[in-house]
Amino acid sequence: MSISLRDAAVICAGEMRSLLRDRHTVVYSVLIPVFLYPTLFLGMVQVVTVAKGASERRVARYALVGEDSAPRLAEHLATASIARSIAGKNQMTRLDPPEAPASPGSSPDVLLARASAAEWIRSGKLDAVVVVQATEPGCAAIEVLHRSDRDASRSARERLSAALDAFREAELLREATALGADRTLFDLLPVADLDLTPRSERLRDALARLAPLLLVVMTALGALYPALDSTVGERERGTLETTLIAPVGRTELIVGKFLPVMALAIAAALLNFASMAAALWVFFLQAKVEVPLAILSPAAIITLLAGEAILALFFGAAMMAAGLFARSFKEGQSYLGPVMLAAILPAVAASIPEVRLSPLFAVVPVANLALTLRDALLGKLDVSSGALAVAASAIYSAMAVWAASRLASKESVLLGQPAAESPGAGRFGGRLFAPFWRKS
Amino acid sequence: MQPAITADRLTKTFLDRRRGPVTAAKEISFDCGYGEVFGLLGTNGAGKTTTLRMLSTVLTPTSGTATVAGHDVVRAPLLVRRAIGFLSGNTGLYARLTPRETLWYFGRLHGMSHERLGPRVEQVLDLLDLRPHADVRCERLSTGNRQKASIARAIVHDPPVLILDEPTLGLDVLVASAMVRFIADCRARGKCVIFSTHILSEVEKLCDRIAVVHGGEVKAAGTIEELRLRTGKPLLEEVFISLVGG
Repeated sequence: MSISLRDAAVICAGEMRSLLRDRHTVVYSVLIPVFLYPTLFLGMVQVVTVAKGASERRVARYALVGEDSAPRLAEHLATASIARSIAGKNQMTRLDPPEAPASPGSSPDVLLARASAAEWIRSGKLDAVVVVQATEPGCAAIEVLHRSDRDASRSARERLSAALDAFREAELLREATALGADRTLFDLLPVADLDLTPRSERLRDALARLAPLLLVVMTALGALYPALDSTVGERERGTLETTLIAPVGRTELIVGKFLPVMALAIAAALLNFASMAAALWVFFLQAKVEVPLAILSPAAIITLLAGEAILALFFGAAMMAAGLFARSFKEGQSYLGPVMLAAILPAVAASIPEVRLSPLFAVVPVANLALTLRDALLGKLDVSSGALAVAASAIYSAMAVWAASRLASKESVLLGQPAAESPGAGRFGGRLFAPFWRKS
Repeated sequence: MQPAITADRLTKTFLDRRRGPVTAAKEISFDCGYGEVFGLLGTNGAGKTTTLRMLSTVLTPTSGTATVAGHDVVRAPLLVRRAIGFLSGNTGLYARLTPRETLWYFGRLHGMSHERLGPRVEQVLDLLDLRPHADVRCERLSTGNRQKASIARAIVHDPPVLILDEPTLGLDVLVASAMVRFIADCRARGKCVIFSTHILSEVEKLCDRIAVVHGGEVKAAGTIEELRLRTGKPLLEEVFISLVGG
């Protein structure tokens, strides 16, 4: 099959000019990815920060029941409250239980208060209740009663737990000092958690899990509108018919239309990637987190770009083929919605560490490229599996382009008319397979 | 001299899911020479557009044959497309391109070199009085100027055969009149013009010969005078009604 590159180039230039002048294409393929998503991300970070600040400023209200069993506890919690007041965040204040037990300290009253605590917390009079119960002489068990479905109660529990941990540590130290022993004797099998992963590698790991999914989603979104516009959009506007009457082969026509779709998909994905990186950079700066500059090696960047090109090739061709089936732009959108979803779901595989780029996954469309990109970013790419994944994707893309050019040679598909003498015409399946069983 | 267009029993059948096979054009036969204006006269849905689309290679005939400028429409579609200028019913212009860009685009698709295309674009813009609007996007042009831009697109490569589908549809009197003059001018320059219409006055003004199409079939073909004699009706409107059985 020979192809006139000159004709394809003329069509490509005309299509690109037309697409770039289309406000919808520019908005959906460029402006939204570049501005909206990073703005949403930073906005969400801001909202979470504000909410967290408000939560930290809120004073947690708690009650202490049965303090006779742990006399130093009340004093410790009071000290902790003063320290938090000075710090100005995560404050807590002790309130008397609304229905104080008749004889404080006695076990039945503690049980009674414990039973009432849920009601106190539910009614909003208290956020949490610390219940101390003597188990045997000199020993006590402590419970923090709270409701995990309420932010204020959950926050109060966290503050009290931290204070109780500190109290326990202080008590252990006091006992050790009284016994003239080393404090560490009380720690049986102490476990220290030491992460040897440098920060740059942790960031690279997070990026490797997130980037493939982001690229897949943005490439698919970037290809969607141009693919529809250059197929069913042109048919609706009647320009497809006039182009068909020019002395140009159908393959040249499809290739010429496909290249701008692919270019816009790549541009949308890379612009979004860059703007999200900038947004993350801003986030890290605000959070005063130092980010190493060289997270990605040059080889990883080249792999990323090559992978993106293949993704755009695949999505551009698949969406154009799907767009050619549609009778109207609206119908095209309804076709491509599920296509997008089906295409994006396999990319989630890249965010699951247990999923490896096995020979089986290397032939699963989209998932294979997502896993290849992830492993390449992590510097763990198995060359043979990667090559298989790239080859499979290239074959799928070529098949989609071929299918699109076959479809483009069918008058029923191009003009949106009932197919001549084909069984099942008008139905999706009929339109899908008709080009392959009918004579050219 | 070989006719510019020959249609020999051209038939086109579509398969409609609800209605079954629908024959839009049935054994349409006629020919048309250079320097001649040929009219396909018929009501809406008569099969005029289907016939013109088969001649312009957009549709493949179910049966029958046709040649345009000596090339078979099925066996040599690219050569046919090089020889024709086709004006579709809905103008088919790229809304976001200007008339000048449109002419360059289609001129290049017809294989014209930059050197040849540059002067030709300016010539066509002048011919159709489009120069003041040459750099305005087609979506912002008036209906008349859009139609002019569409004609300019169809003739930019100076084709010997013009196929015009309802060329005056929706145009005001002035633009329609300019269109009629344009068609007459094409005839004077030796081009073959075939156009579809249901406007009888245009047919009387322009056509050397006509074919009355109805229900996908040619009911009669010949000069207007021949059809008057055949039906015994003095007015073209009466000729038409008697032929289509209205």
